[in-house]
Amino acid sequence: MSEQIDVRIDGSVPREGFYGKRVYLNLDLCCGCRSCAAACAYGHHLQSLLGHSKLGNDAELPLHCLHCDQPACAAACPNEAMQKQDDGLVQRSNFKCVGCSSCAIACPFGVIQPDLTKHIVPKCDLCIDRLAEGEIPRCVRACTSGALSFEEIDGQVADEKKNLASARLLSNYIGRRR
Amino acid sequence: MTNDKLKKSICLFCSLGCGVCFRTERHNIIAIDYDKDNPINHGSLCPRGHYNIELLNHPQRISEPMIGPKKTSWEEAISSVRAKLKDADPASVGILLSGMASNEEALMAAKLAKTFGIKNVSSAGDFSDIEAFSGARWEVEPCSIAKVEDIDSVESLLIIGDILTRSPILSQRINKVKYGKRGNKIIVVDPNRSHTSWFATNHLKIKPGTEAALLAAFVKVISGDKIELDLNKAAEITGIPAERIISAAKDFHSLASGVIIISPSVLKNRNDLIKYYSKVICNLSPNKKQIAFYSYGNSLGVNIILDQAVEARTSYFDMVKKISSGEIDKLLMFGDNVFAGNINIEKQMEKMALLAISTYFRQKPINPSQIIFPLASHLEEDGSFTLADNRTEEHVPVSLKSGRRSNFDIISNILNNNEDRDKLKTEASAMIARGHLSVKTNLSDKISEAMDIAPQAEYPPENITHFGNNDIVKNFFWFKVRREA
Repeated sequence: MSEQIDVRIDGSVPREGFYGKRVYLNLDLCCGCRSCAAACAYGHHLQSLLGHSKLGNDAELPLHCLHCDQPACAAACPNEAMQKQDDGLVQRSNFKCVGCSSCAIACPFGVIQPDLTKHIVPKCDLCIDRLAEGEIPRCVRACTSGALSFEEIDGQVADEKKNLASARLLSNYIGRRR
Repeated sequence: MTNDKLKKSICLFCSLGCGVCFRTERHNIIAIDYDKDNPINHGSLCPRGHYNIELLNHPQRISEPMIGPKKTSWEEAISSVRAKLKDADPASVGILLSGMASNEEALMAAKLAKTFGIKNVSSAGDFSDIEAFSGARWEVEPCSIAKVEDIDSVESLLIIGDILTRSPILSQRINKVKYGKRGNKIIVVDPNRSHTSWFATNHLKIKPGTEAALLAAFVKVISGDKIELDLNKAAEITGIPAERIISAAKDFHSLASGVIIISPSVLKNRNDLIKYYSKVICNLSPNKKQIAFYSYGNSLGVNIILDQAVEARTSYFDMVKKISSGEIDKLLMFGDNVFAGNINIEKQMEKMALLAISTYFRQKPINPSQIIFPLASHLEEDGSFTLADNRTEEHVPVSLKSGRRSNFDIISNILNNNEDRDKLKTEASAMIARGHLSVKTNLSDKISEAMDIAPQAEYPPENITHFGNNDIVKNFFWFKVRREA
């Protein structure tokens, strides 16, 4: 079980058993090696659940599921395979998924990639098997550059710098940092 | 999962030598895990590091020796190699040892060569590994090799090639330099806009293959113009204006500490000169060190041991020539078929009187009487490995060999003797401590060689899923996925 947070910034108290941590990306550090996707694949029966995106020639970044509060993917799923759990995670049932890719179309962040090699839509499960052991998700552990971190949701929202566009990319243009 | 169920080992898919960890269940390896305590990678693992679990559990790994298309027993396969070696002319026999073999296996290969009087012995790591190693032999004193940990705390980095594709784990250290202190410099020399150049403060986008010419110009600037070299000509060859070369070289020279990181690759011209110049720069500039990351884990160790144990051995390049001309018609390849896909050499292999390959996966039939030994990987055999920064890592097997044999076993079977492993281990570590041979050279001669380099055609960026010139990666899942993508 991951460490629980007591009080959020807005003063509300999260439900009991709520996974208060999510995977965050610091694009300044990411070297685009796709270790996260490889680790994901080797941990999930050789199917990577992570999407990837390329920003021109300047960056490659993993697309992590945000486990939204009101998930569009769950609303779009015709078979109730995608469901928001009590612990805050959006989980997909392997047995119910028919591979229709409705969730991939519905997802506003484009993190669900309709890669249907196994006839089901790959969807991040935050490595719940490792969370149960008190470990962090595989992608974060394997990350070669330290770009991925597994942090409290509210802590990250407070640190606005990390949620801005990458300084590394911007530094190539105006406002060069060094 | 408790710690006693984790087994630790090291990865040899590049010469950084990261720690890997395996989860076990009833003596079976079931999954890969991450070695958080390892000082090199702190638990990170690159896509190639994940191959380790596949290498152990791959369904298509062979487990029985074969002669031609038929399965056979170990005794028969070994004795047929021994019989053919006994009658052979030593000049017509060649031995190639993979860059992933351990130091003890290299010593055994040298003993095999001595017993039969064979001089054609070489490491069969990547072509560029061996080329860079020959540059490392050229004497420059004093010049120190950087430790991997040194990279964290330096102020300047000079990176030759796309090192983050060779060893992505270094990105955590390169990031420390990049975001560590104001004024730190990362100079990347690469013809492509590669993943490494994303982190550059100064990206010298040279013409493909002209790295050596640029470094020669660096040597001239840093030596204070003591060396004769036309900077304008260097600028013309590399495609970088002379002023930029001068300012980059002065930047690197003026900062208090620095490391030159080289990734030898077949896509570069004259890896030997690149390695040599980097040593010269470290010699001229205060507090600078250099390190080369080879594509095979133990390229360095195997080369050092073969150099010392076999006197006047044929170089890899001469061996390739001899093989393609048919002079070598009996070939023992320990590790993998490094010539897979090389049409000229495969034609010669068809005609060979003896072709024995120890390997992990099924080979396509090249020679009607080829002998295939199922190989136990470095994870199933103990051994010591000498990695990029000259540190030697001992390691113990994580899994049983299950019918396969390691190169060590195969060679001692052919020799029909049981060597004392502990004795070999001390002998090998003494050789490693002595280091590689050094050859005296004249700096100005070597500098003038750089001016003969001509740019080559543009090449695609290196592939992170591949290492060296081997064929085994094609069996791994992640290689296939990325190729389809």
